Amino acid sequence: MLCNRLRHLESIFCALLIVFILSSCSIRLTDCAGGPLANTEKLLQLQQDEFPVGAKAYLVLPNPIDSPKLNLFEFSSSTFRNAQDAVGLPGLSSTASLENKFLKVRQHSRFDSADLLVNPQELSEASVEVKDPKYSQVMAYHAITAISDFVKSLGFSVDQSRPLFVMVRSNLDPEKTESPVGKDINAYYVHNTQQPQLPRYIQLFGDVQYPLGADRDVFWHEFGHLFNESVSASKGLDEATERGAIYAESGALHECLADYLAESASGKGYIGKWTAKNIKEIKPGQPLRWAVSQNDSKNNFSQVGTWNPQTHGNRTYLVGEWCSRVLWEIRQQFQKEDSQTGAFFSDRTIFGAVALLGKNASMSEFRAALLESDTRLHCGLHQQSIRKAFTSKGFAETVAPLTSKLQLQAVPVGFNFSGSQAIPVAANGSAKEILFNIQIKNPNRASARNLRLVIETGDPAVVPITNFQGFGDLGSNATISIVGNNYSALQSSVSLSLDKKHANGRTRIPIVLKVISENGGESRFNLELSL
Amino acid sequence: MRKLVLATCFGVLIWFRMTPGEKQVSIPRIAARPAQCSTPTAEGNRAIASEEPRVQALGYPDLNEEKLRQQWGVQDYHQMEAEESESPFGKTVSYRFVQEGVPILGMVVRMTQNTSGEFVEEENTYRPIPRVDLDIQDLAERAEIIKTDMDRYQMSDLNTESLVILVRESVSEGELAFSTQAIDSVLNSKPTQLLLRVEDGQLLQKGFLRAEFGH
Repeated sequence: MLCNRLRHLESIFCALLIVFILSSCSIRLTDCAGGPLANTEKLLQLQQDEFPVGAKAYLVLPNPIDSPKLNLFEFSSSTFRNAQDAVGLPGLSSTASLENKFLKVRQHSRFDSADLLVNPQELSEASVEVKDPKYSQVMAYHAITAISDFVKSLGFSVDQSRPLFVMVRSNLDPEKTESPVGKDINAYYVHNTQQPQLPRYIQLFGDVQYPLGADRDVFWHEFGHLFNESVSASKGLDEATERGAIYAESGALHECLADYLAESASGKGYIGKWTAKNIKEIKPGQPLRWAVSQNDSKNNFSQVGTWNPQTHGNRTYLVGEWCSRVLWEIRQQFQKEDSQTGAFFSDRTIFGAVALLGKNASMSEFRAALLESDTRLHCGLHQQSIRKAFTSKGFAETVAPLTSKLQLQAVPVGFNFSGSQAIPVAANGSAKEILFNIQIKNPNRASARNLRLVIETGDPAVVPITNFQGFGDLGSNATISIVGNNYSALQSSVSLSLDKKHANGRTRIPIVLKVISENGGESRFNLELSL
Repeated sequence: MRKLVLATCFGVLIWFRMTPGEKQVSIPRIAARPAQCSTPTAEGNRAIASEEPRVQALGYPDLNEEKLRQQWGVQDYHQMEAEESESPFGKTVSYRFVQEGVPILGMVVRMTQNTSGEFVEEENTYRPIPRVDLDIQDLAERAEIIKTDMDRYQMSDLNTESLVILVRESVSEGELAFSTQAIDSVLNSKPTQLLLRVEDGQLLQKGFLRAEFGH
């Protein structure tokens, strides 16, 4: 009797399992498609370097070193010309320069004279010499229109509430025609958050042998920053870096996503092999950064994300590169599922996560946002893959809580300025800027995760200038020490200015510095400054 | 036999609970349905964005400006400017504010769309601050004094075009400021952006560019 009943229960259990499986199956096939891509055809065309729409121009794609038609560095004009592909430049709206309603390409400044700019009637002549700034202008227009179309086809809008000016050999101040041309070899994206009346800028600096403007990766990366701000509705995804933080996880994330956009759209798995030729610290043939895992230290978060004064100035890019490798692993997973469109679904899940992030987002928050994005778009089918991509690269799911408070010491240093000189003065109301010598010690046996120093104030007499600095993870018994009275060396610290107008007759102003980490140990340091 | 059936059931269940990566299944490429698989909520967003200000979630079936002005107590001298962004999860509309054409920094209302098509407030920092006096007679003179006093920077022109109103959390009124590009001679000609109070040149904010690489 009992045996019969057990047999009956087993049958019911098995039937329930089958019902569960079938119902799950139904959810997966009908509800987890992630929605339609706006224009799959256009996405595939871009990946195959086909740009049929618009006036024809001629470029070596994506740059001379990555072009399958030109893999030599010492090339003649004729070999360079033969390696060019015809690309369409859609939407041109001016006869004097490469521009449309949103995108405006320039050489030095917003107000360049006509002779510096590419005349759209002469596109084929503009692209003969790779070092010619006009070649870079054509590449700029092509690259930005192509990547704009790409992200729109993925289902995202691009913030076009202000024009985007691209200066391919930019002046330091692109608002001034007489401003000096930038010499530091680099590319910048400027969101102009504080200046709503100004457009956005992409500025390329450096008149060099391997011009940054001849590398499509550079434009796609810089556009990636605008795209990050668009998707996150300019919430301040990385306000910390915009306000002077030398390092913040949000800054690394911004770089990571900008790299990932360029790498995924091109399908290359690295960025900036051409541009890297200008940088002596990078070995010949190596790119700026790899998304594909290499046999190096950048596969492990603890190697790049742990406080180290020697690498602190470059940590944004080290952690950014690590993060792009995590995303590349997730992308590879999606590609296994569908070799043709998997990467596009991966891109949409990853950039969808950006829409869920808030101000100064951390890596932990980004991982949570990726899981949420996958849940909303794909019913969470990739949860394990996403988690694994992070943990396999040394970013643990959980970290041990700190049992003791972090130890913070701070000493203010005032500065006044005369021309290019920063002069140390007493840290009071007569100083133009007050920075802090700081020492932070982690007395715990566990590492402090994502350590940050912030100025905590609601006092109108305190004007934080750089009010947030990140330091990465701080190991057991390790100490961060930023000391001295050298203004440049103290840029890794927080800074403020005192505002006498709002002191309301007070002679001493309270300041609170706070050190925080993701696994506890928060502590405050109180001091008072004289006005 | 029973054991075999049960073991098979468990085996199928375990196989099915694995992620697609382990099974190599395909995602259907295109489907004519909304992107949301589960209902997004403002609460869900805030759980991730822990540093975002918490606001009460209010559902708005449409974005009628008059109704919104009333709801938020927007003053007559504040004009609203909407910016829209779109992701597979729906639209986000951000309202920024201006007074007589001068942008106000530090006040924004951000609305996100849920799966029902309703907009919910994600962030609202609007405050009905008093009207700021924009009629500054000696603006050019003040600009010159500020430029001389801060000779560390080579600034762009400071004029009516570069004016903004800054609203700080701790200050009850808006502060009129010049917003300018500047080259910082103390930090190796680093390009920066400054907000300087028109009244006395007090530095209120400083901004930095985002570089592609450090070296």
